[in-house]
Formats: sequence, C-alpha cells, structure tokens
Amino acid sequence: MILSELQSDAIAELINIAFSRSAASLSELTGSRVDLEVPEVSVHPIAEISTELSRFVKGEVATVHQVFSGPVAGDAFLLLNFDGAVHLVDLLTDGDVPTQGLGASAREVVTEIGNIVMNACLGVFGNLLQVRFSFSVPHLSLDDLGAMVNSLVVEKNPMQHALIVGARFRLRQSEVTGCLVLVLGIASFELFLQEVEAWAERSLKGD
Amino acid sequence: MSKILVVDDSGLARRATRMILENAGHEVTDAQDGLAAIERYFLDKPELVLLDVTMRDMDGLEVLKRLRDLDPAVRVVFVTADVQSSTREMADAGGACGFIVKPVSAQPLLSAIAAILPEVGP
Amino acid sequence: MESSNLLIATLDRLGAWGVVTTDSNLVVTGWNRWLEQRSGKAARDVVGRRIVEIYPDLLVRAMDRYYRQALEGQACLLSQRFHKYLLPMPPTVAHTHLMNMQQTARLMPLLEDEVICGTLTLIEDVTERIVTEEELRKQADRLEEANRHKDDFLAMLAHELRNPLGPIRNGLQVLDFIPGDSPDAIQTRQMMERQVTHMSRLVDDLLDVSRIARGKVRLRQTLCDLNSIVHDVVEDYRPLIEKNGIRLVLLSLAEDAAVCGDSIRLAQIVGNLLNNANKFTNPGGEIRVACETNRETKSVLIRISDTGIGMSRETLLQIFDTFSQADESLDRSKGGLGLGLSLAKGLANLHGGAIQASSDGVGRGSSFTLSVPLTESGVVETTPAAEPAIPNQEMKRILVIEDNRDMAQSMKMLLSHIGYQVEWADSGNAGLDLARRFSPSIVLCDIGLPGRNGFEVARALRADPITEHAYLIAQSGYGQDEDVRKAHDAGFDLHLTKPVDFIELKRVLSAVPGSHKSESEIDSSTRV
Repeated sequence: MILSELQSDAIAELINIAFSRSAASLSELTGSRVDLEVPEVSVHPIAEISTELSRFVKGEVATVHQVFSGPVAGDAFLLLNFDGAVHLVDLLTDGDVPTQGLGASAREVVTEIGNIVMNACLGVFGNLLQVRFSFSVPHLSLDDLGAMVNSLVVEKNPMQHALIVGARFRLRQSEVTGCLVLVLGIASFELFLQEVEAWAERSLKGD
Repeated sequence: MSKILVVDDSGLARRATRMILENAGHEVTDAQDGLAAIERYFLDKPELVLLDVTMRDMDGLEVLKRLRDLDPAVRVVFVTADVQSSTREMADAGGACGFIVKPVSAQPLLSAIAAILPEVGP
Repeated sequence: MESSNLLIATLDRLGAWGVVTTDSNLVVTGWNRWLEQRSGKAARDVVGRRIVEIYPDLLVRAMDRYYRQALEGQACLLSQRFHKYLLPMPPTVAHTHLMNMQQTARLMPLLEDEVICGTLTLIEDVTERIVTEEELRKQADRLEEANRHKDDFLAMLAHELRNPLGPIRNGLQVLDFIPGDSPDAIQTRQMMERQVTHMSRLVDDLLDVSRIARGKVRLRQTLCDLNSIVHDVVEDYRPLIEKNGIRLVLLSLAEDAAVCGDSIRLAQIVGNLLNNANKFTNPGGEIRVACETNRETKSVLIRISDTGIGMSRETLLQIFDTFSQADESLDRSKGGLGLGLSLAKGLANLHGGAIQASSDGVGRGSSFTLSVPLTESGVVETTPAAEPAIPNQEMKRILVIEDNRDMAQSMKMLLSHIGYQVEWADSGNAGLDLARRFSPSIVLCDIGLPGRNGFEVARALRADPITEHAYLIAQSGYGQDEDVRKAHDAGFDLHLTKPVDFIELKRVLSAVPGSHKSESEIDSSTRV
C-alpha cells in the first residue's frame, strides 16, 4: 500500500502527538521525566513486518497486546526487548520488584506500562480522527521475536497491514527502545487513512 | 503584520501553522530542523519564532539556547505535543515567552502571538 | 441490574476476586460476596451509591480518572506496584506492616449494543505475593551482605597469610650467607619457626571453622575434668599474658568438674577465649578466669572477664560471626583472622554447651562465659601426652609414595633425621617397583596420585608376598567416613587426614605394631 505524501506526513505528525501524550502519561505514572525521540513510522503488509521490527527489537521480547474495536478495529502490540523490559521495571520501581525472570509483579508493571502507552496513543487517535476506539484489557506475553511475528502472520489475514512505530525514549538517564504495532484489516486501514486525510485537511484549512 | 519563523520537522504542521498565520496577515518563513532554523533566523530577522520541541538531531530546547546565545532578545514560543510539566518548566527556564500545545488551532495561537507582539496588531 | 447479577455470578465461578459493576454514572450496580467479606460492606449498603462516594479515597488518589477512561472505552490494568490498591480494604496477611490489602485491578467498559453502559472492575488480592517478594528481597539483601563480608574476609585472609612469608623468605636468604651454627642463624631459625607456627595456627583455625560449618568435626569424647583443663590452659598462657603487663587471676574449683568432651577441643575453647582477652586488654589491665558449677542447670561455667576495650551493643551482636573481624570498625592492628570466638562458640555448641558475651560498653571490659553440661560424677581419666617413641631402627624402612616433591623431600629428611631409612617414589607405579626392591615395613601413601591412585597401590602391595605384611598408612585431604572406609577396603591399616603434623606422624609411626608399643590415639588419625 503506497501512502500519499499528505498521508504519510499526517500519520507522522499524528504519531508524534500521540507518542508525546504517551510519554506524558508514563511520566505522570512514574513521576520521572520521559524524553522522546522522533518516532519512526512506516506501513507494511503483515507478511513483511519481520525486518522492520528487528530494527527495534531482537531475541526475547515482552509484548503487551490489546484488542481495539469500533469503526477502526484491530490489534495493538507494544514490543520491548526482554532485557529492556526488565531494565524498565528496575528503573521505574527503584529495584523494589524482583525482576529475575520477570516475576508476577514485574509482569504487571510491564503490562501497565504497555497499557498506558497504547491507551494514550489510541486515545489521541480517537480524539483527533473523531473515531471512537474501545480497548480490551491488556495481556502480556514473553516470546521470541520470530515466534511472535509468526503467530501474527499465520493468524492474520494476509491482506492486513501493520502500522509500525519505532520509538526511543530516555528515562532516568537510560534509553529504552520499544515498538508499537497496529494491525488493521483492509477495511479498517482504509477508513483509518481516510480519517487521517480528513484531519490533515481540517488542519490545513487553518481553523 | 509580523514576520514569524515556524520551525517544525513535520511538513503538515508547518503548512497548517503557515495557513493560520498567513490568514491572519502575518509573513511566514519556515525551517524543518534546528540548524536551518538558526540560519533562517539570521537571514530573515523574524520578530517571533514558533519552535517544535521533539525534532531530530537538535531538539527545540537546544535550538532556543543557541538562538539566545546569538541574539539575547530572541522571542520564542514553543509549539509541542509534549505536555509534561517538566517540559514547560524547561521552556520557561530557557527563556521562552510562550507555550502552545499541539495540535494547534487558530484562536489560541493567534491570541498567544498577539500577547507577545502587542505593538503590531494583525 | 439483572445482567450485572448474571455477570457477577459467572465471574464468581471463574475465580476468587472482587467484582464491582457500575452504570454509566459510576453508580454501583453489583458487588460480589468476595468484596462483602473483604471490605466489610454489604451489597445492599453499596448498590445504588456512586463508587467515589463510597470510596472518596479514589478521588484523593486521582484513581477516579481510570473510571472516567473506562466510560470512554479504555480498559486498563492497575498494577499493585504503581497503585498499591484500588479500593482500601484491610490486609489479608497477618504480621505485615502493610496497612491495606494489596491489589491488582482490571477496569473495563461494559457494553450493551455497542454502547458503553457502565464499568466492570475485577480486583485481585496480591498481598501474599507482595509479602513473599519483600521477604525474598530482604533475604537477597542479607545474602549480599554475607557475601560482602566473605569477600572482605578473603582479602584480609590473603593479607594475613602473606604477612609471615616475608620474614620467612628473608630468613632463608640470611641462612645462605651465615654459618649454620652462628647465633644469628639460631635466632633466624627461631624467628622462622615462630612465623611458621603463627601461619599454621591461622590455617588450622580456618580449617576448623570450615569443618564446623560443614558439620565435619568429630569429637573424641571422654570423661574429663574441665577444672584441670582450664588450669593447664591458663598456666600455658600465663607467660605470654604477663609479658604484656596484664595481671592474670585464676579462681579454680576445689573439686573436679566432670564433663563429657574432647579435652583438646575444650582446651582450644578456653585458649581462644584467653587469647581474645589478651588481644583486647591494654597493659596494666586484668584478666580473671573463674570456674564455678551450677547445680541447678547441671553445668560448669567458666567466666573469662577482662578490663579491656569492651564492646558496643552492635559489636556484641556480631562478635561470634565467622567473618565479623573483617568489619573495619574492629581493631585490625591486633592481627589474626578473628576466627577464635566463632570457633570457640562452634566447639562449645558441639559439646552441648554455649558461650555468652557481655560488655558494659566500649572501654568497660568484656566478659565471656562458657557453659558445658556436667556429667554424673564418674572416674575422670587423665590422658597423659604420649612421649615420642624412639623407633626400632633396624626394622624401620619407610617408603613414601607422594607426588608432591617438596612434601616428600621434607618428610624424607625429617624421618631420616630421627633414624628411619626412607625411600621416596613420586607415582603409584614407581612406588610398587621400589617396594619390591626395598621391602619397606611401613608405606606412607598419598591417595591422589598420578597413574595408579593410592587405593590401587594398596591392593597391589597386599597382593604381593614381598609387601603383603607392610604397615600401610593412607594420607589424603579428605577425612570423611566414606574415605576412611574406602582406605580400609583397599587394605590400608591407618588413614591420616592431611595436613599431617610431623609430631603426630612420629607418634603414629612409633605406635606401628612391631615397634615401640604406644596405643595413644592421635587426633587426626583414624584407625581403619
């Protein structure tokens, strides 16, 4: 699927705003400043996401999954390197939660972080695009990136597309890299693009 | 009418902001990163700079610092989606004269500009 | 209302958790049994009221925003770690400092025909898990602390073991330059012997501590008189202590104090306590040793008190810890590994006794009380130290099979010196060859040998008519019952645990059948 310049420009700015809100929510939850780098956004057919994902995460990954429904429906995944997730828990909890092998409490911390990031992000989409999303409760899985991608590719309809956002942020002097993947069916994706374009045009009308 | 420099790495954001400003009768130049912004500032001598925070290579806070080093009288309004209170504090500490949250809409942007540049109404 | 009752009934069957439902104004429509029990609020008192009204705490902690988000369609997980709990309820685990039940909660919108009509909250009680995690963390901290102590101790140990080596090395060089019988040479040898003795004591203490820690110390218990053991030890230490300008007072019992114990180990306990008092008492001070019996508790009490530097409460708490002296707050200038007290306590415990320390504070002296259970009066044996016997020279040919060259050569020199005829082989095969030619009456054989090990050598020697009657002594670094049994099975007469003290070896050899008879038991040897 080839995006027009306006579409890709608009998606980039939409993601920029959405991730800034995610960072702010994360900052609010943790009481620490979160510095966000410009997110890298791209769109790929579901069968081809592996290469793009491996630019941001490798090996064992912690994945927080949420289903969202509404006119634009799909799956949202937040991927973090396993080590990155452990590190994040340590950072955010001052080492108070045992992270050896990511125990129950540490898993909950990672799940809530994913939840916060995705809710903030999709919340912005909903507001700006004037589309209502509702989300399921998040689930965490720990798996190899390859296996994780396989499960996505096998289960999903090949016509589906994935919006991939690679984001690096710094928190208490440490850098954490994560990757947001939105998997949308063809109808949802087209509606999404339509709404994005509509938003861009509204913005350019200068009101 | 004032001359305003818009600095943002998003083409959409630059165009949308330009539209609002030009509709209100301002003269707009723009730049898509920090270095270009510094160059444009000295070429175009704008009365006001609208500056994004999250940008590649050099972030808005760094751009403000460089501009102030070169021209202590520079007037900068941050335009950002980053709503962390610490960002606002850093902007204030860096000497910004305004802070507007993205996505921008016409009214808040124009009133902020009017408050900073009272001598030249649109 | 009905649909929420059905939902709650379903969820209750799924698991043990709190379930709350609200309508789109956050008025509670459902409150399950679990919550009634944990919160102390009955459903009839809760249903129909707004949740933030029932729990204003939600507003105080800005938790109501998650309810608002749920009404906008967002589901969320609220982890214990970030929020501690959603609804304040009493803790479910006894003996915890936690004021509230720790919870992980899930909040989601309730939909009816695609329209959000309310919220559903699931509350999981994770208090027990959090308490366990806290315990684990504390335990990890303690282990880390212990590990750090051990590292500090190792550093100190290396230092303490290195110290005597300098003077010994110097001594060796001096001896190269001066006539062996000059007064300087004699003085040098005395100095070297002192250093070696000091070092051996350090190493012995270390081995003892590690054996006690692993439960590997065997007491040679006999009926003995603690009163006279204390007397002997005090008199042994008197010259050293009085040389330091410290007065030493002994208040003995008039009668025997019969205890069942290992007289050498008991003497070691008293010696360590005296040594400790000597170390931490300044010239002009006094050390007082008092023996008494307590008929009520049926025990002997040996109280060793000094007028020395005393101890703070903190020091007192850790004074018996193995690695406590590694702590820099303790005086390192006195040298030693600080194992003496830990060792004394370990040995006292092995005797069914105890040691207690007390002090009125820094600068106010210390007192250590050893208590050992009294035994019903019986005849107290006295075990005189065996006199080193002179070997029957024409009989004694000794073959040493040992792959450590230095060990073998020094043993050969010493044994030759006291009149044995000694040959040495450095492997099992060489030893067997030599044995056939040399026909030794005693074979001292290492177990860990290159090629054929000690057990195989013993079996071969027993199988050969020339050597089958030799007295076979095994030497190994392992003194466990299993090793002793294996040595016996292989045909050894005696098993000695390394390092073997030369004086002990002399006693063992003199006790070998066919020579000067002496049946005294040797501490580190085991008849097999």
